[in-house]
Amino acid sequence: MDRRQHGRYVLEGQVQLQVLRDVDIVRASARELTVISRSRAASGLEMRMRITAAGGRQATLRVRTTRSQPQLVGGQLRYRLWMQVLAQEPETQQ
Amino acid sequence: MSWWSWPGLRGAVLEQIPGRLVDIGAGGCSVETASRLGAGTFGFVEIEGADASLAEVARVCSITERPGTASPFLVRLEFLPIALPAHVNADRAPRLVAPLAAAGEKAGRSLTLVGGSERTASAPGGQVAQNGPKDADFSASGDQGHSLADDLK
Repeated sequence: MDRRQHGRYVLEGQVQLQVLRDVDIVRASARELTVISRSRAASGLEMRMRITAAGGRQATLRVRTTRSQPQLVGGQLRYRLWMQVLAQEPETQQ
Repeated sequence: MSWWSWPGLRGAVLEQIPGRLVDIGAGGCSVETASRLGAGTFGFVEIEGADASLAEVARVCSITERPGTASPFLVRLEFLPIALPAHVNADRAPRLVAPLAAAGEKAGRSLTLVGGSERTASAPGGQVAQNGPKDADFSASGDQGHSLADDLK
């Protein structure tokens, strides 16, 4: 089925995609997080992590990957990432 | 109570992936990337053209793999009728993760997209394109009900 309903235009341009990828939190503390991710991450890579919890509690953290190790989980390749918590960002109002 | 002691913690990382625009329409665009994205992956796309730029919340509809090319993934994105907050502009990345997470919750799995420039979540005149595959997911994790952490216990 062709889902396109609009004309398409061929254009040159650079694109920056920013996607949220789920991770499973294995261990959490004020200074460090250990998570299981579907994608690897280079050591030293800084990124933002969205934390949610029961009751609608949310936090956004700046984290830095300190170590990454491949791991089989249920027969599938995953990555265990160790992350240093750099800061907790203030929540913005929607 | 500190965040690390909250019960039932879940996490999502905001990942930045560069790409090259292939084509674009009112409802979406196609992008070449070097990274694999799963169908249903939800995110934010920022397009820098020669004389204009565009920023939209989008979801991955499909991916075509092209082995042997510099950018081996052709990603087709559907723009979602979700507005980004007005303050999200030049300093977008640091503030994006919270609006994205909120928008993802609004979009859910069964969002529909209507034709025309006045895109809304309703469906007048039957001009509705059902977006995303049935297994499409907010962050393409694929098994929301089952935590990977469960397998590790």
